[in-house]
Amino acid sequence: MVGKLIKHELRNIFRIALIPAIIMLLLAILARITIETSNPGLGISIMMFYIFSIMVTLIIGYFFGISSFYQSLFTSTGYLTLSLPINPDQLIWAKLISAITVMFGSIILCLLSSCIFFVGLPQEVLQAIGDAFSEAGALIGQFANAEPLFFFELVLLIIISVPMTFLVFYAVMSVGQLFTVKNRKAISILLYVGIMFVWQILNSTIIADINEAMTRVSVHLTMWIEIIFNAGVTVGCYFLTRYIIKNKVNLLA
Amino acid sequence: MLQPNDGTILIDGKAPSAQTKAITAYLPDANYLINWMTVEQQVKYYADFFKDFNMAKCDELLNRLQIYKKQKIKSLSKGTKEKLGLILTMSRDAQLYILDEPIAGVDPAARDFILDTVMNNRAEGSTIFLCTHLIADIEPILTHAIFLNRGRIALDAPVAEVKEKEGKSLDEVFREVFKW
Repeated sequence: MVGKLIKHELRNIFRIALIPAIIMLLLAILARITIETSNPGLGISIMMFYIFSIMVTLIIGYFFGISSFYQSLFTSTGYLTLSLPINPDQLIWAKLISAITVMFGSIILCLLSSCIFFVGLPQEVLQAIGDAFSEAGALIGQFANAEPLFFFELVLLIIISVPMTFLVFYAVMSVGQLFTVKNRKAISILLYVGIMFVWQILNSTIIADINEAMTRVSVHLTMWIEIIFNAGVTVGCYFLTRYIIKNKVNLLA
Repeated sequence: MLQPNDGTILIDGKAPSAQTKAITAYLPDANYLINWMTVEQQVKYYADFFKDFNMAKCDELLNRLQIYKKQKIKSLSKGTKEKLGLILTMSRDAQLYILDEPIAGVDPAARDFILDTVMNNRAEGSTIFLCTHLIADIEPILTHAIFLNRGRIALDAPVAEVKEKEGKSLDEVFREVFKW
């Protein structure tokens, strides 16, 4: 069932998210062509549009991964979604996996679009670019060998933070739909902004002081506190979302 | 769609879950279809998730109503969307059908079609749980009636028993119970 949900979810998100991605690829081709023309102004303009399209592709991919959750669960389509023979865990996992897939898919498409600029470059330039990437890879390898624990902690933190960004939104949207008012999306947005505001205040005051104190003891202690905290937020948001979907959905006709 | 404050609901002896949803076909009183899909895509969506979905029955009903599969759902009229929702629900060979106001806001000819579709396409041995205010239209097909008045059960009896006891039609009893 999760597979079927993911299939339909990806189809739903990609039908919108692919549009800016295709435009981005076309602009990359156009920018590559116009770079070598005698009109540098045109090339620069198209390059600017191309860079703008990268941002749009990434933002839309991320946005639709979040809004699709709200659309299919807390609007009238929720009558269909919530009457499917699936449980809340399957629903949340399907939405999360799809959203993360689209996010990474958007990043990969952006990287692929930048590779278009390598087409037709002289061999020595391509060699230099290849050498630069190899050197960067070697540096990362050296860092991983020199500080394996810190490298592991960093990777773990990134792995936990990716689903956390979506699950916080899912939890906030789930709480927002508990209110029986017309504009529940606005409540969800206000809730999110409020939480982020409080979090930033805490981060720049109490948490910053704690982190500084911990770093004096060990940087690994700071990392593990961060990892455990983020994992806690991830798990907490998951179970809050699950509880609300299972027990407190409030669809307004 | 609200959650109960109190009490329990059992479907086939089980609390509501993915297993009970697999045997329950629900038609809400809202436009719940996925607007960006075509009729064909929406039908396949249903068939994908519900093992009891009867594609042949669905095709027959769509042809009868001349709803073309390539049409986008957002281009359909309100009435056609409602009919499509009904077709998708009744194309399932479910054990329980829950229909929320299926004939509200439609003309008498459409009401006859809807009731005819409901009665002729239900799976054998299934139960239909139908919510409506249009008692006179529904009465001929009802076997059991429950009246809810301000959150309380005002009547819960077989229709034949009500008619025999009251000597009136269910519609007349309804008008008395809910008199302003």
